[in-house]
Amino acid sequence: MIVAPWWNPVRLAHEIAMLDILLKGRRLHLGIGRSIAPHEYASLGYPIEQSHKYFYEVVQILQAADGAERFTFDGEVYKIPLTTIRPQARLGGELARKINAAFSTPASMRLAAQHGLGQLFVAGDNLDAMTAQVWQFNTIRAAHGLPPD
Amino acid sequence: MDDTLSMGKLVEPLGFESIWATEPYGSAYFMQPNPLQYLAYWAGRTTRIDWGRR
Repeated sequence: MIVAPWWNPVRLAHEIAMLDILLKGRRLHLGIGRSIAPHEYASLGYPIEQSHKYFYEVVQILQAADGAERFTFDGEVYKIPLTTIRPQARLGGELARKINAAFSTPASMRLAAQHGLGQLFVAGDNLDAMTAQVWQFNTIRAAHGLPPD
Repeated sequence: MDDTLSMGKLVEPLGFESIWATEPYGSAYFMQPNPLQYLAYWAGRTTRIDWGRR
């Protein structure tokens, strides 16, 4: 469970590739969250009011870097020139194909579904509430041509 | 933290499939700040499990 807005995405892509290599074929399932703790954002020096923007730029950069010989990115937060990740992951191209997102707010849930991320369950809601949330999530995915998650 | 590391050693003997890690800073809530560092440690201490399987 990586808190995406707190990572430099190029460093993160390298570290994910390195961990994948250490796993020797065992699978790293990436989970990503945004965190909603103001004290953590304040201490680390990241702007919590821009956390969604940071989050999705990091996700897009991980997807662009995964399995690519080279990639570039032109975002509002990050502008990355032609870059190569070395060492390359063993399972390059598979690591960012399915990223699961943790969320606890309706806005984050909608964004995750719209961006094709999977869902992680971190809330302590009851079964009816969680069932309704999964239904909502997959309804949004369907509207974007994505299968149920 | 010692307790957490002790539990980690039981993951494979007890038949679990996967280890998970989170990323909290500056509090006593599951005290390890870097999931990739933590999972790299367990990658070297295990042979079968994977990471964050849902």
